[in-house]
Amino acid sequence: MAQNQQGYVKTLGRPDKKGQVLSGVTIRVKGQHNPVVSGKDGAFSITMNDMKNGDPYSLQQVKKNGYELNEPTLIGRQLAFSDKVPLTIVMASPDQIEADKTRIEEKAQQVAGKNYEARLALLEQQLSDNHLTQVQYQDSIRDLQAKFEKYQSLIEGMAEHYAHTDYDLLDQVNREINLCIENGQLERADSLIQTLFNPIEALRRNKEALEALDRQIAQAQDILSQADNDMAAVLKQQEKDAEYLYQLHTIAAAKFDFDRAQQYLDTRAELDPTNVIWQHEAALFAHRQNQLEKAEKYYLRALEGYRTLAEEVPEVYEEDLMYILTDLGYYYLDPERFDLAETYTQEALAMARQRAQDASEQSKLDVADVLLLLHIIYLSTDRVAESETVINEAFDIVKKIAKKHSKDPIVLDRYQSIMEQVGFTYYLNGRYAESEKYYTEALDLARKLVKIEPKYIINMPSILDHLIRLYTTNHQYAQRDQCIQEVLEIRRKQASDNPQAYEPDLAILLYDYGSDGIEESKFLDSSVNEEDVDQDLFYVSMDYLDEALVLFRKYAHLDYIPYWYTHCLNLLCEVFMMVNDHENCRIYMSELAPLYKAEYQKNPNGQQVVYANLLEYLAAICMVTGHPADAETYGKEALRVDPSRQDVYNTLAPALLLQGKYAEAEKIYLQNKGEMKDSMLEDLELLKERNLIPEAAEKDVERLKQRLNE
Amino acid sequence: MKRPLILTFWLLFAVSALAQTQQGYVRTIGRPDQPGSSLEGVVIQAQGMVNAVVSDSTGRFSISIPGKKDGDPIALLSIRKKGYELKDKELKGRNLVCSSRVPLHILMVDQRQLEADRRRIEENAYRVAEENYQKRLDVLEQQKEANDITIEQYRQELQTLEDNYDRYLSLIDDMADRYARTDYDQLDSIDYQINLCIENGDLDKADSLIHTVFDPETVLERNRAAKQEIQERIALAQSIIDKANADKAAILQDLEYAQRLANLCDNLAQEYVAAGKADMALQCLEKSLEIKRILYGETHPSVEETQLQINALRL
Repeated sequence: MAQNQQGYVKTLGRPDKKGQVLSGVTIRVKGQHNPVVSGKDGAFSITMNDMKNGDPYSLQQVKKNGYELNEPTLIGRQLAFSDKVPLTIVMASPDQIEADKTRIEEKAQQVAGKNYEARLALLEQQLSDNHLTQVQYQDSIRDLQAKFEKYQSLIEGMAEHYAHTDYDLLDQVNREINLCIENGQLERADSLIQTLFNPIEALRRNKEALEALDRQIAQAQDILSQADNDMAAVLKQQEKDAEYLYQLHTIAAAKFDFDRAQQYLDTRAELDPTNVIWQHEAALFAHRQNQLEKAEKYYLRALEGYRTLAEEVPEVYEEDLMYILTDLGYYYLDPERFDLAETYTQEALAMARQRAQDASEQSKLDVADVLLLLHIIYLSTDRVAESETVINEAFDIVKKIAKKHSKDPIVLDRYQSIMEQVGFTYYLNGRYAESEKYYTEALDLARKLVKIEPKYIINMPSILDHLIRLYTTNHQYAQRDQCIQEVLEIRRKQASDNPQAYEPDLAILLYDYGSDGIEESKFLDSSVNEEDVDQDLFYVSMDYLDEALVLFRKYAHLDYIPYWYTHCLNLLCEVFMMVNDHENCRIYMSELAPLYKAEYQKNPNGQQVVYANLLEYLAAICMVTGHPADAETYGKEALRVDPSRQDVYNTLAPALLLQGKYAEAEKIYLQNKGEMKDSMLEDLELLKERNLIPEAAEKDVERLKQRLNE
Repeated sequence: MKRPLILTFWLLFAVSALAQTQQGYVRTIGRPDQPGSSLEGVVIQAQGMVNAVVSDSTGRFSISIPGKKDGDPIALLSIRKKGYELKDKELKGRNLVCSSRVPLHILMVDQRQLEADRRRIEENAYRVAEENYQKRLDVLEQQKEANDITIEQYRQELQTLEDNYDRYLSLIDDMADRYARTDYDQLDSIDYQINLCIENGDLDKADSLIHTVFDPETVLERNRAAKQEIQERIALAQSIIDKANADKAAILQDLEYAQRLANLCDNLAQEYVAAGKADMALQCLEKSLEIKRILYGETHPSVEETQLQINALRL
């Protein structure tokens, strides 16, 4: 990260003149190529990469025409980087320095000269007063001389020192002291120092306090390093805990207790939310468990983690980031949040495309995978043209690779699957011709695959189903039937190998084909003429329904079968009603009765009407097919289910009558004689015409007719 | 003749000081039936290296990258030996830490053994799933016979059972791969047993073993509390350091002030000497000495120098 060392350049502060900011100063840091230049306010800012506060650096050059550094040793000296404390650079004009030096030297010489004169005068006085001997006088003179000369030699250094003193740094009193010294006012300087002098005790206490603080800091550092060690131990234990949680997850899954298995993964994910793998695994599992909110939470955490990792170590983690973006794309399909799905998918696609620049096959296939997801999103949001563009691009990628690996079943499988997808997309968009082209090509490829490895037979039904749907839509019944035959052949083989597993599904498949076929044949469409009905299609479809029915009966105990079983029987009844084959109708309806009854018992309120309808109808059919006993049973049942159905009496009465239950029959007839006398008489005539009246009942019928006519 | 030798020696010293050596070793993982061993002939390429290195007969290798020092990150871009793969695929490319003291520890697994172990674990897992399925199916049948549940409930439970069975089967592959990669050499005796039980399908035993050393109900709380406690300690220590540094800064300023004062005394003394007022000079120097003694201690050159000046004046 780049850090900035701030600073400013100023001129030397002198007693008579404060320091000024200095612009246009070129500053070069050792090891850096580009210099910085101080601005109008004298400020500068040096960018230094990867520096922390306290790290060392040094200056290589500080330059401005007409100025020199007040402290030349600043160049090369080790400075400490700080992003808080600015670096002050003081420059001075050499002319000013010279002038000041000269002035101070002269002053000092003056003072020294005056002092020398004074001392000399004193000595001479002492000699003449005989306080000194001649010898002492000579020695003192020599001494004075030596001191004077020594001082002379010091003056220049001293002048240099004071000429470079930055008065801006000194506070008021110090300024005065320095000024006094410069001007030779020594006593005054001395007394000023006294005013500043710190009591020695305070100084001593300060020094001790400093040492105590250093000890405190050292102890605190110890606590920090102990804490580091302890944290390392906690993290190690965390790894162990995570391992146990995974193991418990395994065990719970083996007992099929998937909720508990999920809980263990959740706990592990919460142990460290920054561990991407734990988050990702919890997300995938929750997704499978259909706990969508939870899955989303963990997916997003994993995404955060992978983003960070991919920034730090792209070579390793970019791929993972791309995969999790795709996972999220798929995730958002379920709740139909297509906007979010698309955002993530587009990001994944951008990454995939960039990675594919390395031209490896795997990275190109990754692009194809993401394009597939994108095409699903486009289909889901009705963007027809885009979906076709995208899937064609994916298809081209896979095609090129498939050409190079024309014997590799895994590649071919993928190629075939995407061809199917393209065909399906075209189908959804109404482009049937293109759709058929891709489907048939996919079918050929699937056949080829089966020859290479028999296990790929499982691909065939899916393509054939697509084709069947297409041919049905296009009314190409011959081709449709061909495909159906092929599918059935595969499914029947599966069913014969493992009946329990495959026969129920085969039954449903047969019913689907059968019912679609019946509909397409227009057999049940009363607006269509008989010669326009496709008889071949009709008969083939009826065969399928019969076959389905056998299997439905066998597997009626399975949860989901009764639904289809019921539909199948209903369809057959409809067919037989169409041709007035009441007997067959009766048979199938009788088979329906217990199924409807079961539904009615589960849900009396909801199923009452439906069940009663069936019973009423069934009773009537039984009557006209010569099964009066059954008609009575069903009729009475219908009345039990729905006592308000008066019409049932029309069936119930004759049923009783024909069985010889005269008294009961008479009662019903007479009760309803008022509204229904005519229709009852008509019914009786009808029955007679159809020879449905048994000999034993003939007399009763006559009796009743008489009673009605009364 | 001597000169060149010294020069060469110095050059050697200079070069080796620049290139840090990172040691490491490669081992195979330990499995229940076979402990791990060192792996020879593994080709390793680190980021920033021109040439690859190869592990020796003791599994050791040594990487030399110029410019790297302790604490710097180092990534291994390629670790290869025919017939073997990394135990932890994530190791490749991950940033490890350079250390001249701590060697890098790389674990690999024999691919054939991995395959065999995976298959064995999968078989056991399938067997367990079958047993479980059958057991539950029997229970359901019984309940149906005894009319403890209705036909409808029976059908629903059966459907759920089928779904769960399929669900579990889909998980087996990944689980088997994971357990086949466990390094038994690193496990303590309990963990060893737990892993062995899981691999063999003795899941109940594994479950009870795990519960003797681990409580899933309290782990989150325990983990959170431990981390919090440590973080509190760190915060406390850090605040102590910060405050101490701040206090130090204030004191250091005072001390610096005293230092300047001592310097001023020295300067003044010099002036007094030039003016011939030796006794005044002496007073100044003695003040300066007092300060310096406290600031620097008795044996500091500055203290000694001032003492000398005093002595000279007294003469």
